[in-house]
Amino acid sequence: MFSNALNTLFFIFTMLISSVAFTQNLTIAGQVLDAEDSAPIIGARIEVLNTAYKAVSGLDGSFLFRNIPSQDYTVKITFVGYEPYLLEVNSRALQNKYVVKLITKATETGEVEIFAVREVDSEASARASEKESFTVINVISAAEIEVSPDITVANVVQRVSGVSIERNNNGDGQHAIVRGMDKRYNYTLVNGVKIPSPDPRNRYVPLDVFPADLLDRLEVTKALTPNMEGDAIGGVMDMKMKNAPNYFNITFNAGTGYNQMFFNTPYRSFDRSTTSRFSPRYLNGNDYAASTADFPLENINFQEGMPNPNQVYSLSIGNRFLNNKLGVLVAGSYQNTYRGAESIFMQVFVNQEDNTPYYERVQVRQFSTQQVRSGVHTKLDYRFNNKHKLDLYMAAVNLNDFETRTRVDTILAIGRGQGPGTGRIELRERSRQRYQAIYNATLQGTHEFTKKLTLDWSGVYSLATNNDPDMAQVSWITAITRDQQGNLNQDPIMYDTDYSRRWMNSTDQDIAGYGNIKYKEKLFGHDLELTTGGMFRFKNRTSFFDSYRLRANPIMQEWSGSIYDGSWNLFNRFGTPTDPMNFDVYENVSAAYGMFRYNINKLQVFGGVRYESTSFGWESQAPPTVEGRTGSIDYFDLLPSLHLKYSPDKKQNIRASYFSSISRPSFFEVIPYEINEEDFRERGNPFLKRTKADNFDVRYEFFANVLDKVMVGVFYKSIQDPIERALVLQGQNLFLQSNNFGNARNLGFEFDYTKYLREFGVRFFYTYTNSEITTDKIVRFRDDQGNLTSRIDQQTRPLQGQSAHISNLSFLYKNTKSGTDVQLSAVYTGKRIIGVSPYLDNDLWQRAFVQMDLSFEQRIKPGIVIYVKVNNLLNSPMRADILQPNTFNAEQAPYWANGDNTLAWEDFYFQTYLVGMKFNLHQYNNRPKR
Amino acid sequence: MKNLGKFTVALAMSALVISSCKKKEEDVIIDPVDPTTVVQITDTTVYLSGPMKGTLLQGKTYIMTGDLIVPEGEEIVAQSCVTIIAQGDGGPIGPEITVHGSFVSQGTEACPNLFSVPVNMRTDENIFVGLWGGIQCSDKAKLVMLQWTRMEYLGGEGGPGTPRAGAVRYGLWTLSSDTEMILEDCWFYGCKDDVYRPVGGKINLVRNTFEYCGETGGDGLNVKAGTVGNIAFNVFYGSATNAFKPSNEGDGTIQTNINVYNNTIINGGWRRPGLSRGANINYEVGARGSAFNNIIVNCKRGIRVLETADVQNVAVNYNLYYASFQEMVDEFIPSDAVTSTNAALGQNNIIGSVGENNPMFVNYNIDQFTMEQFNAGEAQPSNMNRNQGANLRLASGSPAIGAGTTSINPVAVNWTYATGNRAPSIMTPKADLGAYPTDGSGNKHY
Repeated sequence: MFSNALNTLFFIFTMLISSVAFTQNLTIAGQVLDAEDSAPIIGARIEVLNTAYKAVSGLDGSFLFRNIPSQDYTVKITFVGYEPYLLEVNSRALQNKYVVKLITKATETGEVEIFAVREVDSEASARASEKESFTVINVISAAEIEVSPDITVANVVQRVSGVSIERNNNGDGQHAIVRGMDKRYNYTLVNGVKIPSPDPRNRYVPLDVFPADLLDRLEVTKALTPNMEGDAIGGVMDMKMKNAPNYFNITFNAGTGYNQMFFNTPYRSFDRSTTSRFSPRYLNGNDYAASTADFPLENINFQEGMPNPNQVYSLSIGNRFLNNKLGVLVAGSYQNTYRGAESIFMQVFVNQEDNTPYYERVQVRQFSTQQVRSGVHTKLDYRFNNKHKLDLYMAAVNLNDFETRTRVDTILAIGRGQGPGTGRIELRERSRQRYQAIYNATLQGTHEFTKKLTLDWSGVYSLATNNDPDMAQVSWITAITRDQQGNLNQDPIMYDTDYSRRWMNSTDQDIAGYGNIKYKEKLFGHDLELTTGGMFRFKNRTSFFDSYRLRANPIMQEWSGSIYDGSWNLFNRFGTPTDPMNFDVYENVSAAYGMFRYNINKLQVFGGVRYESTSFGWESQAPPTVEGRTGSIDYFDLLPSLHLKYSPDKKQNIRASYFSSISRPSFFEVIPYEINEEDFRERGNPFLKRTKADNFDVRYEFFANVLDKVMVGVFYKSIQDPIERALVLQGQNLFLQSNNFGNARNLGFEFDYTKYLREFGVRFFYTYTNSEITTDKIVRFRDDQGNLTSRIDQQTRPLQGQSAHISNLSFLYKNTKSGTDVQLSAVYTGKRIIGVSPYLDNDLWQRAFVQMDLSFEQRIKPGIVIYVKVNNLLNSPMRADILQPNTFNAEQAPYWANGDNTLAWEDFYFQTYLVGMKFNLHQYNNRPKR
Repeated sequence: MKNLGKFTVALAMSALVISSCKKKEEDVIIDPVDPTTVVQITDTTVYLSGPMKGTLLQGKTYIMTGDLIVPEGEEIVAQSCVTIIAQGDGGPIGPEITVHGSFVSQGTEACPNLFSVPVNMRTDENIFVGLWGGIQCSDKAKLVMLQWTRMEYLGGEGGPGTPRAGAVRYGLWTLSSDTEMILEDCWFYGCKDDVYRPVGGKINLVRNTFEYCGETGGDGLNVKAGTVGNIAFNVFYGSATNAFKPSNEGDGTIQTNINVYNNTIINGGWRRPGLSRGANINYEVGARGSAFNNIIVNCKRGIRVLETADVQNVAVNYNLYYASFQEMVDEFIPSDAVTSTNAALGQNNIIGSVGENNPMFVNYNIDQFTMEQFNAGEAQPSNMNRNQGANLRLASGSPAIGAGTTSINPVAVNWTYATGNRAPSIMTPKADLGAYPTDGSGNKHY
């Protein structure tokens, strides 16, 4: 599989480079650099005077003329903002590589320079940020995102060294796993401010909510500093949103596309128009007795067809006003896409005799999903002068999902007595609608009182909402039996007894303030910077849940082909007001820190300590007779950190860092709730402790020039009280509960490499991670008395989601002269646990896979670009196994070669194509005039 | 430099202030229950609601106006001839008896107890409505013992804050393998779903009669993991799915082990749509035990042992099967579990063809129903699902007489709470098949 992908890559790469001829006459090669900082200048015009030979400098600033008649030439090098340069080439000279250093034109006024915002959306500036940072970070720029195949932030993060992604039902990225640490151990920022999650139970923010084209850059921080919130053990994703440009500009992008699946398989949709966004109880109060009239049937009346083409738009308008003091940027993005998946899921039961897996039922599933993703953000900045400025940032992002899941289940444990092809079949069709939104308004001020003393502050309001209304799943039953002649006959399709409709919504609101004071001084002749600051955040979260059950009336109803012929009685007219998912929580976090930075020549010492205090409380809707209906948890942490950076020269850094951090339990798992179902019993755990970690990092960085980098690092994390959901034995009974499991460790190695050679570039990262956690597992066995029983054993395994090997290899071709950009990216994700089983040796492991994506861009005119993006080029399947054989009924999945493993899951997501056009007014207006 | 000094001092001070304001590193407060006093039942008590304890006196009628709660460590004992009317609070969800401690009902043959709904609601239309919630136990409950007690019109939606809020209530529900359930000489009439679902427990169910149980799913006894005990001398009319279904589904350290013997099960398994649904005695998912000396008449299929059961420890023997139609005969050995059922099947079952091996009940027209009537869902004839003058005792000459075994012992149960005068009647098997052995030692009803 992997070698196939490599072969394909190699083939394409060979194709790309074969366009370079290998003939020889006179060759003029050179490199154009900035005279000041030796940074390569990309896109400089190079003309051989009195000839037709022209070139444009490549990504590393280099240019090349081959096979030109052997004589002396004058070569003119020009670039906007620089003085022209004339290069004399002597044909007899032995020198074959010329270094040209361009000098900045001295015409621009200093005043404007000071007000100007550094443009940070370029790849070169991303490398500069990594290089200059005090701590261990990785940066992806808007320019890199634009030419990448990715349209959501979730897919962008997988291009970052050490990050892999967890995918949703449709194979699209959703959450980040940083250095093998599950999503619960990471947090997400927008412009440095933590944002709440729309997830109804958890803290982590789904990254697929964010359209990638709103980003200026994505920063992934892997070592926390005292001025950062202390609750990340893996890393921090910071989405820096687009800033106002220094000039008036409009950019626009429009694209359309399709998913390969829907050329062959119909898309199943349903009518949402009659769906109520809130449950009958929510709308009418707890005393309201709902009736079947409250449950219109449109959202379970499924239609088949071809979906509309995907649509992707974005627009941004920015300018500076009032003598450049006021910057305004308004950006919007809208993506309406259709995806799907074809899936086979084997429901596995663990044999009570010997703890081995066997197939209980086979689920053939098909997903049809429409995702409407939209985002608007506005950024205003006002610079009173070069010492004081205010920034106002406002954003609203939405992700609306509309999903149909069709399932055909064949029961393997019962009714298969007549052999394969026969048995009880359950047909299930589910419609789901989900509206997720995140709103954020941040006002930030930066004040330089003296050269030595600066202050910045932020006031933040954020709101995350999740509305998941009227998820409805209808079930039918049929069977295939063999008659006495041996023919297979299908029974009539009957409605199953009950079906359910459920509403879930949650809101999470944050009000936060941040303040930092920085003081600079010389100490023993070296720069010392002292910073202190603090923050508070008041969080209020509400979760609302109602589930209704409808029972077929009469009991025996044959499916007529139309849902409107069915009839049901409503079983629970009052919803589920005391379901544990009805709860309110608050969480108040306040923090203060002190931090210093001291430069001793080439060594930078940076560190300090952070104090964080957390006050959490809950109120559930259980009646007053239930213990633990309300309660609270308070704690504080002191989190020291120290970061050393040694820079022997301008191109190299050696970093070493230590930081202490925590990870708080999720909101729901600590509420002392109880769920008692016969096949699963669940308990909340108010005594769940936060996870604490000591994190160590060493990294060597080499920046050959502004684009090329080599980073080699190792990390080690000692994790205390990691949280896992596992079965807990209490008396004779077992409960599913989140618990702390002793100590875990996580160590790894990272290699990150970027190299450009004229038009060609290669980006590669490889991360090795090795984590270990030991948890309790159930072992089912037969005891000496011959009874089936269970015991608890301990098992050591990697953390969920951690692959030993992850890698990303991208080939880039960038021809600034012709305006061509090609990027071919392959992501390798090694095998990893995607489902932790309560039973020993029954964890579900996703097989290693390669996903390959391609993007191509061609400039038509300056400022006008057409592009093609193809995701999942190889239609890489998702497959997952249990790593021991099914000795009981492996033959029930005869089309899968089951060896030593039990294959339990297989998904195909198919290729997604996108073609479109981009327009950049500034570039268009500044096109070279003839 | 001067400023720097000040700054450092300020920093140190603030750190000191911060660290001194909290002393304990972590503080968890779980607010306790509102202090409610448990009401002692007295001579004057008429209405039952909320947390209570004490004795319900002989011959008295009590009105349940809300959920009656037996708190942890407490008990309620009903003497004989006690009537409890589950009237409720006027709201649409019927009340229930929630047991965290013990509940004992000591009806007698001469003076049985009745737990039902108001008289005007005891109609045929209400049989499957689920008017009140029966007895719902938490995992702290110790003992539920019902003797000579009639429970009617059970099930329905659980009220807010109850263990089965918003879900279907079973007539009886226990959650712990330490809870003990003793049902002797009781009647269960009209239940929306399962009559009794033990998710673990020690059980002794003898000489009971089940009628109209399970609207369209639901078993008489739907046993989950960790349940041990015996089911004997019961009569079951018209179960929706299964009459008795031992399963070891779920997790625990105790294997479900149930002997099912000397029961009479008629007309069962027809009210549940779907292939493979509905047997009469059904062993599945790791359950063990023996089914013997039973009479199975006109059920959707015969005694079934699924391949997921602990087949090597299941025995099916000395049972009599009777069917009026070929469809039933074809399923005596259920076609969806032939191999595993045969593996558990002994040599001494009485299995024939249509109309063969009539058990010769004293008064019952065994061939009175058509296939259409069996398949009629809620339109099934009422006498298919309840006793309307039938006498299922064995007439002389019945092939069931003396055809059974007495050499299989009841499953041994180690009782903790059901001891002394609350000890269960452990019934040894009788050689005459069914619930009515000719010596009269079996079921006392009808």
